[in-house]
Amino acid sequence: MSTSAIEQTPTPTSAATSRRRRGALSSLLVYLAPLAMFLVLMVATPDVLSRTGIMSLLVLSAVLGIAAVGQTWAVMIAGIDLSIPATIGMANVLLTTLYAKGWSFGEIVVLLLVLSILIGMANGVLSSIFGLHPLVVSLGVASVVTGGVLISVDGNTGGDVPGFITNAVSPRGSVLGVPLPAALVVWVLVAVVVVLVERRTVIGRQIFALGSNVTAARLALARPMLIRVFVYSAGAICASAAGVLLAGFSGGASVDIGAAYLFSTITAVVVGGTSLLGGAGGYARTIAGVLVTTEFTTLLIGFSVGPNMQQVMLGIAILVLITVYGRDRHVAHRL
Amino acid sequence: MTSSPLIELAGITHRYGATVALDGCQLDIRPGEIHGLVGENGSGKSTVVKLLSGIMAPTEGTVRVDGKDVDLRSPTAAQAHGVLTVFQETLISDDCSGLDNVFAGTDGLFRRRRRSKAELELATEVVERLGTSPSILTASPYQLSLAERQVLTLTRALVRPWRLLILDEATSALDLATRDRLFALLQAERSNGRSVLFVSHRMDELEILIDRATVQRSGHTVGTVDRAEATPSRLLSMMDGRSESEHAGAATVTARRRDEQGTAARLCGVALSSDARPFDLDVRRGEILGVGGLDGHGAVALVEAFAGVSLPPKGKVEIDRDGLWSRVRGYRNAVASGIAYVPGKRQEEGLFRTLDVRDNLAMATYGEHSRLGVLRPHAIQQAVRAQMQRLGVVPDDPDYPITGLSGGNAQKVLVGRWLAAEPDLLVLNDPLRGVDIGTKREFYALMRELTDAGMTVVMLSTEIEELLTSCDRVAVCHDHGLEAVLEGDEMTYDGVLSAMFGQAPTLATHERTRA
Ligand SMILES: Nc1ncnc2c1ncn2[C@@H]1O[C@H](COP(=O)(O)OP(=O)(O)OP(=O)(O)O)[C@@H](O)[C@H]1O
Ligand SMILES: [Mg+2]
Repeated sequence: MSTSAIEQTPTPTSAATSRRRRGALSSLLVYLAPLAMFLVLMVATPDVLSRTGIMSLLVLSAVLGIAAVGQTWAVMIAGIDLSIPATIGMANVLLTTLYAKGWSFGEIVVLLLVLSILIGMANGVLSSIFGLHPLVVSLGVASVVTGGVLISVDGNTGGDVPGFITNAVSPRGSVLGVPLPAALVVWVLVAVVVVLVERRTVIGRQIFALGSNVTAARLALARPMLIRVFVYSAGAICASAAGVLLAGFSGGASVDIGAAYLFSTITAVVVGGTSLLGGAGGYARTIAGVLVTTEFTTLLIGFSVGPNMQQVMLGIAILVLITVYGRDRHVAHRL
Repeated sequence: MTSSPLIELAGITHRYGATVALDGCQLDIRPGEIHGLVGENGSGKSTVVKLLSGIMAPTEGTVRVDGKDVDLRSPTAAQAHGVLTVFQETLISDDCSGLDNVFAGTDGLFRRRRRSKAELELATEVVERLGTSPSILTASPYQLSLAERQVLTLTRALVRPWRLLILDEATSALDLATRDRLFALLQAERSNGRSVLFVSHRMDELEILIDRATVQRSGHTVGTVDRAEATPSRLLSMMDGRSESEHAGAATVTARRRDEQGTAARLCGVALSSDARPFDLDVRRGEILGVGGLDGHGAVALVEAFAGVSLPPKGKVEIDRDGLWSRVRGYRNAVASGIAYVPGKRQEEGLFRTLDVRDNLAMATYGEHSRLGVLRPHAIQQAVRAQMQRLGVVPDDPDYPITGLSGGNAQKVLVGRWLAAEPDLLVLNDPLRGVDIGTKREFYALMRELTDAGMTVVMLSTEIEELLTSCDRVAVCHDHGLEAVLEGDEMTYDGVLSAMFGQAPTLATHERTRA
């Protein structure tokens, strides 16, 4: 037995640095993925390498990114939000029909905020008090929302779109003279706020705690129902914003316009590496996932793959990724 | 000894990333011996256990079974050599019955087999041999106490054929009665030529049980000693490198009388189950009130009542707030009244396994360290570091993932979470489970310091020794009633023990506390 051996052993500080470095490495890969995917896209369809090409890609990402806020947080609390497409459709239809009826944009925004919070409360409260899985609750909420919207507009989903919304999603749009589409600017602001909430606020850390261990979170003073309501409300508000932006793309509004966003938001979250088991990950990763997902979809469109086939491909991507990431949580790590 | 060891580790090094958990580890276990493995928190005991059970492969070094080099690349491979393990953290799934948990892993890939009658009988026999009710096999594990969960994990190992049984602090939550039955079982198996590797921080257990002991310090094997040499002071000095004489005179703290300072909290007419006899209990300001009792006899319910975690079916819990009695109506209300509760099941009720040490330590006090819901990172960092230093958490790094901490260190983080709240009444549910002896002593001293400054402590412990050395009075539960409150001369090992079995030393004690 030599004393020197003892002196040399555990060196926690260097271990921690290496852990951080390893952590940094795996997240670095996540953040490099969008770049790699872009290179692939460039080779396959060289015309993305124009200003318009890049801007359209970013605008599409912005809409998906804003819609994926709710999915990210829902997954982080070990839930899921199937009501995002319905909420997008709701905002889309209400904006166009009410605007055509002469409501001001501000009035519509207030209405959408109120409705979004109601949707969030329904999701959060029902999944808390009845102990129902959010999968079931949010699916139920989704059909109530879609049905309700159709009834309230009598099936007439068409209407008008404010000009500035069309501008906001135009690749040639600009904000205060800066040649950036407003949708992109909105996404950047949303992303900054969301990431700061996750990292720098009490409720942000409690979101992680709740996803990690409900009982322990409650004992550590988190309020599970309040957090769920917060998460699903914030998600619904963002989904509404995405629905409003989508109105800028084409004439006809529709309650189904958000249908594709169920799969694409989940893909973005999973590609980013947020664990479906909850308690880990975050929106910063989802941003990378959003870019990859949009590039992937653009690539598929470039190869003239139809929307149905796109869904199939995204589904396969999700399955592959879940299998790969799922290995992380091997039993050995729990001992 | 000429016969080759049953299993042998030679020149083992193991790293987690850059953390060197083991370096120069040497261990041999003979057939028919109970071998102790001791060392401070983080000295690498659980790592040795995981290597022997095929959970991971060592970075360097050889493992030999019956003198032949083997590669234990999976738990199945280890089991094929007859190595069965009860891990430190009880892995019980709440999603299936106790019986399913016992036979977990024997299923096919896609279908869970129906349990045969023979399996039920086998499991029942083992559970009964450990003196526990077989109802734990059919109950939903969610309702089981930590001790019952531990019995399930023991049963999981004992129903299978084994040559070497590894118990990694598998006795830490067991009550005395169950533990003694387990020990009798182990001793019987030893005479059948089977071996046990026994990891524990309890010197009394080691003294009863072991034939030889191997001591680890900072990942390095200090040496192996025979039973005769394995006195507590010898083992302790090998563990921390200090001289034996420093441990020989280990100070036992003497209980203090605290009755002159008034009552900090009280139970009035409380019954711990709906058909139990109600009782009153006062906690004196500045005292450390120990709570003991066999598993399932209401001790946990008693501390949970103080903390507002579960309100007793009858009676009320009150805490003194600036001279006024305020009733505890629930958990959040208790916290707002200056009560803090360190839960007993650290995996199920305590730790956030996906988060780092900082979040785990500060989660409950984030509210205090924020302005309008926005955290103040600087204040948090300082508070976290202060608690980590106070409790000696290793590694000393708030960014370390909680799952990278050894069992004892994770437990310290959990205690730190609620020490940081600076409560008036600190309620602890077996707070030092798996914590090493040196740290325990420092913690007792810290409790003394804090109670001298006016804090009051209610502490449940499964260890009678701990109740006697660290507490001013000891309340003992039996059959969901308060059997005795012992103080002064009555606080003896036998006194506590007989109260646990429902034979309070004198009726007078009981009556006095009820008056
Ligand atoms: N998964 C892991 N990742 C990183 N470091 C780890 C991991 N598991 C253990 N360690 C480190 O390895 C060292 C040895 O840990 P181990 O769990 O073997 O200690 P132990 O002797 O069982 O302690 P205790 O008495 O507290 O249970 C510690 O420094 C610990 O922080
Ligand atoms: Mg251990």
